[in-house]
Formats: sequence, structure tokens, C-alpha cells
Amino acid sequence: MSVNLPDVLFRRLFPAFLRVDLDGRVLELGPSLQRLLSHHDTDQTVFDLFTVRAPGPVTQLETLEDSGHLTLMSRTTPTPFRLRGLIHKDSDGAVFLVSHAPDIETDADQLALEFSDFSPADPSIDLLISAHMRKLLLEDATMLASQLEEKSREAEASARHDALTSLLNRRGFLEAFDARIMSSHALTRPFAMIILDLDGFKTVNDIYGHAAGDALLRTLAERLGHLMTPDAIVGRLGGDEFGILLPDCGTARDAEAAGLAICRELSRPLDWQGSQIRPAASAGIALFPDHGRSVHSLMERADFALYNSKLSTPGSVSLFHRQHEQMFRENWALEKYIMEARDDEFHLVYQPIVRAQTGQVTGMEALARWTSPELGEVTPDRFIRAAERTGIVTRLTKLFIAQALTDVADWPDHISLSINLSAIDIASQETTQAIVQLINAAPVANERIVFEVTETAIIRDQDQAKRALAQLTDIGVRIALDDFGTGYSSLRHLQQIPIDRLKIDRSFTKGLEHSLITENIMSFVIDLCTKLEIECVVEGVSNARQLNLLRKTGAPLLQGFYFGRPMRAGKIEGFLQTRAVRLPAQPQPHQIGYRSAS
Amino acid sequence: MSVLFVYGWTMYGMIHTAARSMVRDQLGEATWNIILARTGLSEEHFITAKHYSDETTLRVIGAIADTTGHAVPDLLRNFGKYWIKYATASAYRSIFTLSGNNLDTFLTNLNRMHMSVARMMPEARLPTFETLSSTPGETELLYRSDRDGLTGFVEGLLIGLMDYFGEAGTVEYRPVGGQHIFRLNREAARSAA
Repeated sequence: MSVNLPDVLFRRLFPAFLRVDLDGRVLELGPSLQRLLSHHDTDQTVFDLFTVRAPGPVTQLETLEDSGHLTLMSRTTPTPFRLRGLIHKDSDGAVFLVSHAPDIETDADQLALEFSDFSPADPSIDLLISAHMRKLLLEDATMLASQLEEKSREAEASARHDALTSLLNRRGFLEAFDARIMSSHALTRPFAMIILDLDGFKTVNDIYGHAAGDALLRTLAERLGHLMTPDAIVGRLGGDEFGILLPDCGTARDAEAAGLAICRELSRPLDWQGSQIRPAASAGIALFPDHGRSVHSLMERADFALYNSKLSTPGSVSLFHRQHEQMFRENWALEKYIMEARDDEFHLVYQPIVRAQTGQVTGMEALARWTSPELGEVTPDRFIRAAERTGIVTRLTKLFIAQALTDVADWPDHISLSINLSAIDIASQETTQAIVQLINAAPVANERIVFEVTETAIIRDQDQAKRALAQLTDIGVRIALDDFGTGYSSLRHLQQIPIDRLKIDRSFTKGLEHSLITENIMSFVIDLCTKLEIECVVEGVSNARQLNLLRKTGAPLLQGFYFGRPMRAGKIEGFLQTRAVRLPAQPQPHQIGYRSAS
Repeated sequence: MSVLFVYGWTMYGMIHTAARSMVRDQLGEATWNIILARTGLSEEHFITAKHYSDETTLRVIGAIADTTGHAVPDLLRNFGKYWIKYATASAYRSIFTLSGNNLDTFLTNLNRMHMSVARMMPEARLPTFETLSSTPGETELLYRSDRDGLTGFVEGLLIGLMDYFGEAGTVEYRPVGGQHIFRLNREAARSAA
């Protein structure tokens, strides 16, 4: 069948079809007609039942346009039934397509089919249906296209806005920023680019929960919205970072004043479920066109300035300066290389702690050193801070403790070992536990170990610090409060923290020779320690005069270059053999008390 | 619109939009949202002229049945009836009207219309209907489809069609030797559609 339909579908659609040739002979019957006439003996007989008549010869069909589906009606005679359907012109005949079988009088000897021009099933119906279908599908497609356009507009808008705060997101901000730069170039209008970053936002999330963090961000976004003039651009750049483009603010003075005002406004407390959250923000500022003429350069430089604020004084505002970029890049390199550093790049040196009166070495303080293949020797204060920022300080602490415990095993039993712990070390229960395990596993009496912590480290989380230090003192390890006098110098710590030793910072020792006040302070602290039965070590002794003064104040233990520079473990044995005899003669017996400043 | 036309759409998004409309009309927006969540479908599954897999359509039907607690055959019967109302109330009503102003004419033109639909929607898997007998009070149709399990839907469609053309009566389904026969017991036409 050549009806532009698969044969199986054709037979389904026209189960009662008749196929005739050009002479009017029936060639094939559809399944329904076959079923109706099934009581006739042979197919040939069934075919012979039909006589096809046409208005003219059947070949007249050839004169018709081959439209594929011509609809005519056929009447049968002499029986009264009608077959209605389509005539399809074929290459060698015609097919009479009947959609359903009528009540054919199947006992008749002859079923005459006559093509007629009478057509209740007008072909225009098909055309109309097709036309309507096309129209409706087109309308559907048009509606769909409108919906897609609307969705696309919504998606575009949401792609540029932050769902939480409704401010522009990073992408939206950068685009608006870029457009403003273009117009600013044209109008030569200066502006300030301010990047704000919340201080301690993670702590807010940790303590009050993420709902509080979200509420805080929404509130701060609202405050920024109220602060800004309509032509300012404000966006949430991500996390707890906001960006502001402040128009007509081209001088350093104006920009810094604006930055401070913004930070002040953002730091107003927020009530949250009966508590008060006290937010704080640091800011970095870059000026157009002084600090850059492109989005990229201004954002980068405002970021450098922000980095300076965060690192130097959180909560402050910094206007971009070249030093900020230099500091950022140095720290970036430092952090990168320390994170990639191998264990063998680090080693320990030891500095002796001696008795003031006899010069006898009583202990050694382990000091960390790092020689980076890329950066060379890096000072401990720089790399320890970098290690703290990158989170690898715990790894280093465990590495240094393990090494120091190995070294101390070779020393005489009366020599103690002092090791520094960072704030991060004592902030973690797991780290403290790991340290305890290292010490317990080492063949060294625990009493020989002294851990040095700073007040700053304790103050970060006093409760956790107390727990960590208690874990250590429980196994017999001693605790020293390091750098006393440079931080909070709180006497309360002497009472609340299980301190066995206090180390007076070297800055006091330095002022000892020139300031009677310093000498008196030193004397007071040493006296206090004696009364509290806390060992006192004075750091930074670098000459005999300082030694003599400290002897007079009654300082029991001293440390400094005067007694020995930090040395590798391999040199300690030789040092201990020669050390004790080198102290100058004992001065006058000291008096414990204060000298008059007058 | 014909039954076949309806079926021609079963794989197209219009069937999904009709199902959504039925649930919203009969059970409310909240129930539809529950069903939508169960199916995991989104707006993109409700594009009228887009062809979808059977699995997608069955997911919609299954989720409605699960949520409403209706047996699937009952749901399909209800859906068949609703479909006629939905289609004749939509922009596609014109095609419905073209196909006849009474049930007999409609059934006569049924398969012709299917062919027109097939041209527009080449992926439609069309069922067919053959009138086996027709008297003033009764019409018997033979239903053929390469899909199983949809006789309830067909029954609902035929009831919906009779109702649309203002005819009172009932529809009976009986399987005969693997064939699906529907008998329309037609009382006097109530009024012209």
C-alpha cells in the first residue's frame, strides 16, 4: 500500500479497505471485510462478490490529481448499504479506504460498488483539521516561547541577585561595577570601591546557628541599603563579604571616613532570640582612578587593603597601599610553601635556661626552625603564624614534640625540656590527646616536660584552654605562661590556670638597664612568683650587666644569648660540659624589694 | 476530537496538563503539589506538544493514584471522562467540533482524524476503533491498541463523549478472545451537543 502510512497502521485505520485494479477487479480486502465474508469458501469467491462501478471507466482515476487521499463516497447496489471512506489512487489501481465495516448483506451474490461524487465525508474536513492542528500547535509553541522568555528573564535576574539578602550577587555586582566604570571613564567621576568582610562570622554560625548567621547577613544588607545613596552599588560578593561602589568619593579622607561609618553602622548589636549578637566588619578601600581603572584592579587592591585590616587590626579600615599588596603576596607565598613543606625542612634548636646564681643549666627550650627550599630560612614568628592561618600548625606541633622527646632522652635527667604550644593546639581536644599520647609513649619522665603557652592563646577560649592544660598537668607535665608582660598580664591567670612557671618577656629585660620602673616591675613580678611558688624565668638576657641586675632582683632562672644561642641537639652535650664554669663572680647578696626611683 | 485523537496525545504533554488540571479542579492545588513532588517532575514535563515517554505519563498517573488512594482503573475512567471536558473546553474544541455534531458522525470520522493527527504528531502511537455494529439503541466498537491497561480510560472517554453529545446511556466493556469490545447502550439523545 502506498498511503504514506506504515502498512500495519494503515490496516488498523482502514480495517475494511478494498483494493481494486484499474479494471475494477478486487485485489485485496481488509481484515474486517474478510471476517464478515468469512463464510464464503475461497478468497477468490469473496473477491468476485464485488463489482466495482465508476461514473466512467476506472481509468478515469488517472485523470485525477494524485493528492494522496481523495474522498468519495461509494454506494453499493442492489443492497442498500453504503461504504464511506477515501479513494486512494495507486500506481496500478485504486484503494477504497473504508474506516469501518457497515452491515453488509453478506448472503448477496453480488456486492456492487459504485464510485460517486456524493461525499458526506468531505475532504475539506481533513484539511480543516490539519489547519486547526497546525494553528493550535503554533499557538502552543508561541505560548511556550513566551513562558520561556519570562523564565529566562527571571533566571537572568536571579543569576545576578543573592537570594538571601536580595542584594546583587558577585556577578551582578561586577557587571554593574563594570558599567559604572565605563560611565565614570566618560564622566571622569571618582568613586571608592569598598570591600567589607565580617569578623568572627563563623563564630556566630557556630554559637547561634546558621539561621542566626543568615539573619545577621540580611540585617547587615538592610543596613547597607539604608546607608547608601541610590547611585551607590551594593552587593554580596559571597559568604560574609560585601562590596560597595561609593560614587563621588575620590579622596582618601572621604573614603576612609565612609568606610569607618559603614563599619560602625554594621557593628550595631543585633537581637537574636534573647541574645545579642555583636557583629564587626573590616574594610578595604581602593579609589578610582588612583588605585586602578578596571574592575579587576580595583577589586584586587581593595582586597589587599582588606587583607591588611584583617591581619593587622580586625574591625579596622585600610586604604590601599602598595605595602598591602607586598604583604599579601609574601604571606601568600609563605602559606603556599609551608603547606607544601616536607617534614625534613623543619628542625629544632635548643636554648638553655640557667640558674641565675650558679649558671647551672636546668633546662632547654625547643625552638622551631624552617628552611624553605624556595624562601630560605624563615623566622619562627612568620612561619608559625602562617602555619596557624593555614591550619597545619597542629601537624608541626606533633612533629616538633616527637623530635624533642627523642632529643631530650640523651640529656641528663635534671635538664628539662620546654616546648611551645599555639592557641590552636590547645583549642583542640584531639590535639591535646595526641600530645598526651606522644609524651606517655616517650622514655622520658613527664615531669621534665614544660609546655609554654601565651596568655593570648589562653584568652581565646579560656574554658577549653583550662581543659587542655588540665589534661597535660594530669600526666605530670608542667605549664609555663610565656611572654608575660606583653599581653594581658592578668594576675587572674596566675590564679585560675595551673601554671608552674612564668616567663617574663625579653622586652622587660631590654629596658632593665635604663629604667628603674622596669627594674621595679621585674622585681615585683619575681617576688610575686616566689610567694605564689611559681618558677620565674627571665628571657632575653644578653649581657653581664643584665645578669647582675637580675641576680639582685632575685630572678631564679634566666634565658638569653648571654648564656647560649639556640643550638642543634648534637651540640648540647658539649655545651653542658663547659657551661657551668663561665659565669662571672657572684655579686652582692640581693635584696628582695624595690629600689627608690628618686 | 476523537478518542484516537485523545490517545494520540497520551504521549504528548497535553495529557500531563490535563491530569494536572483534573487534580487541581477536583482535589486542590496543595494535593497537586504533593503529587508533583512525588513524581519528581517539573514544568518541563508539561509542554503540550512535546512527546514524553510512557514511563513519565505512568509516573503521573501512579502518583495521583497513590496520593488519592483510588484504584488505577477507576482513576483512568474518571480521567477519561475528565479528558473530554478538558479538551472540549480548551482551544482544541474546534477540532472536536469539526469532527461531527453527533456521536455517529463523530465515530465515522474518527479514523480520518487520526490520520490527520498522525501527520502532525508522528510519534503518537494511535489506537483504532472499528464500528462492529450500529443500531439506534446500541453501537459496538472494537478497540485496538498496542498499549495494555487503558480500557478504563477508553470507557471514561466514551462516557464523556456520550455526555458531550447529549446522549444518555451506559458503556460496557467486554474482552472477547483477546479483543476489546465496547458496547454503547444509547438511550434517546437528550439534546444536540
